[in-house]
Formats: sequence, C-alpha cells, structure tokens
Amino acid sequence: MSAPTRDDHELIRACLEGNQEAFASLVHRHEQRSYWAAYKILGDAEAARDVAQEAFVRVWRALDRFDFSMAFSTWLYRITVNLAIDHLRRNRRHRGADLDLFRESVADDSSISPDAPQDGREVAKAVRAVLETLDEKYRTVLILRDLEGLSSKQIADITGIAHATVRWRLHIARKQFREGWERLENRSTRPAHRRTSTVRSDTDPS
Amino acid sequence: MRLLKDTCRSIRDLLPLHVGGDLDPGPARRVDEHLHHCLSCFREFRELAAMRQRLVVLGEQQPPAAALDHFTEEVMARIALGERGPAAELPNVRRTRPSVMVPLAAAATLMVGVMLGYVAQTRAPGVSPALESAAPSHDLTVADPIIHSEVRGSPVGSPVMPPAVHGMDLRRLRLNDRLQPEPNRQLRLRSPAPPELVPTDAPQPAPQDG
Repeated sequence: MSAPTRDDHELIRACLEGNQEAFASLVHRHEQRSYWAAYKILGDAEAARDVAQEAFVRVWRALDRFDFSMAFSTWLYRITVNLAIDHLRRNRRHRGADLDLFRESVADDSSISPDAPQDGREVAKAVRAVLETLDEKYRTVLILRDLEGLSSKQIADITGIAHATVRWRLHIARKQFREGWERLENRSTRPAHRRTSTVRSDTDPS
Repeated sequence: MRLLKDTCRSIRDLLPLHVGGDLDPGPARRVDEHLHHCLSCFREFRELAAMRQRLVVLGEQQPPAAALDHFTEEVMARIALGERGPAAELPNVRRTRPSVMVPLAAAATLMVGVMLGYVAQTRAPGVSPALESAAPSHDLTVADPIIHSEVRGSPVGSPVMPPAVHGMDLRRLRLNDRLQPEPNRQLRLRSPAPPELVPTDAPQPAPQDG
C-alpha cells in the first residue's frame, strides 16, 4: 500500500481514539476528490459540496466499521458516489428543460456552437447540458466510466447493479449522448436540415 | 450485400461499447477486423470516439476557486451537531416540527375549550344547585379571577365563557345546542360526577325491578 494510504490508516486509528483533529486532517486531504466526484455526477457546485460534506459525516459515523484492508479513498469515493446518485434520484429534473435553455443561449451566442472554435469551458457547458437530458441511470454510468475512468466492473461494485446491466446502460448512454449532442448541433448550426430522430433505448442506431 | 449490411448493423451496435474499450476480447477483435475494411463503420466509430472525447473535456474543468472554502470546518461542525443526533436528519426535524406541533397545539386548545364549555354548561339554568356544590373545583368562574370578573353583569346561571384562551375566542367554541341541558333529559357526564346530577324539573326515574 502506498504511503498516503498508510497515513490515512494512521489518521483513522487516531480518530478511533477520539482525536477529531485527525479526522479534520483526513477531510482536508480528501475533500477535493470527494467534491469532484460529486460535482461530476451532479454538475452543481452547491449540491456537490453538500453531498461531499455529507459523505464525510457518514464516514465519521461508520469509522469504527472501516476495513483496514482497503484504501480510505476508495471507501470515501464509494460513499460519495452513492450519495450523489441518491441526490440525483431525489432531484430528478424535467428532462429536456436544461437542453432547451441551453439551446436558447446557443441561438443567441454563435460562439457556443459545437462546430465553432470553443474553449474548454464552453464545451463543458454544452456537454453538461446534454448530460442533463439523459436519464439518471444512464448519466451515472456514463460519468463514472468516461469522466471518472472507472471500469464497468468497478461501477457495478459501487452502484450494486449487475455488470451486464452496467454495460447495457453504458451502451445506451453513449448513444443517447451522441443523439443529444447532434440535436444541439442541429439547433445551433444547421437549423433547416439534418434533423436526427430520437434514439430509442431499444432500437438499432444504424 | 445483405450479409454485409447485417454485419454492419451488428457491428455498429457494438461500437458504443467498443469506443470505450468495454467489449470482451472476442467481440472487440471482430469489430476491429470489420473496421479495417468498412469505411462507413469506421466513420461511425470515429464520431463516437469524438463524442467520448467531449466528455473528457468536462472532467478537465477546474472547480470554482471558492468551492472548497471552509469545507473542513463545515464538515467538523456538522459532525459536532451529529453528536447530539444524526446530522443528516436535523433539517428533516426542523421541517417536520411545525406539521406535528400545530395540530397538537390546536387539539390542546380545543380540549381546553371543550372543558370550559362543559363547566359552563353545568351552570346552565335548570341544573340542580347540588351540582354546583358537588364540584366546586370545576367551577372556573369562581376559581379564575379573570373569568369571575366576566360573570359580573351576566344573568345568574347563564353559561359564562372566558374571552380567550391562548388567543382563541372560546365564545366561538361553545357547545352546540345538542349539548344544552334539556328540562326533561338526564344529564350524562363522562367525567366522574356526583349522583345528584339530575335536573331539578326532570321526572324521577321509575324504580326498576330485579
């Protein structure tokens, strides 16, 4: 195990002896990763901060059940991701609303069209808008796989769904993301032609 | 030709997974072989790869500068709150408190009103003076100087209600006419009451045999 992980374990032992400062050090060390994991899933800074903080509170409460054979960061990450997914489920947005708003802003601002030269922030904004149109179950696996870089098996472990289901959802999610992106592209650059049909989750895209 | 089309269709169905390296080795090899000689499917694959690359851009964005300001302090504060109870449930407690307390307060106020109404009913005309002497402690018009002051000027024996209890006008809470004592009806009280609770002008019950 790497040195930081060993240090994490030492801090956890100190926490178990009642040392709250040790836990504060642990929080400070891992706050960015936890926050980021939540932010990538939620796309909302405030919600991500709240979820990340809640993850640390849950960790504190369950610290006496920590399995010292695993890395603390893995444990924290799993808790954070699951809390973020729960948050998504509780706060399902109206699908399509965000993309519609984004399309309107795109129509007013030609610099944000997918074909125009863009900086990373604009692309990220467009990507986020398209992601928001995806169903929560597809969005989650897509983010965990393509943004977080987790394997489908790791996603299955974290989310508690079958490996085959993860792959199926990933398959659907990529098709839907592409379809959403093309809708955005048609709206902003080619409004009169090249309309694409909605990709249904059970149909062949070809 | 048809066979090729079917092959393309089955291959394209695998592309969304293949683009992320999520296929098992066998199908992945079959897709790679097909992409080597099918330009149409290769273009499809390239488009999907570009889509996936856009997602990566999202992961490269930096968080807002103040995103983690006082993060640790707030976590420790939430934990400190959680020592007296689950921190995550504190907001819920705050949310549910009004919905629980308001009906309780209303029910308590109503009960007070009903009790006061009952006491007032016992002083209605036609009730035996024995009733008053039997339960003097129930007579709030005497016990409570505020209520007692309201009695002045009222007809003797008329129901007297306090003007307000906890901000509620109890005059509006008077028992309806069904509970008014009738001359020919025996008063039925739920609370322990002396046996003399009989209206003075009510007929005496007939002795029962057996």
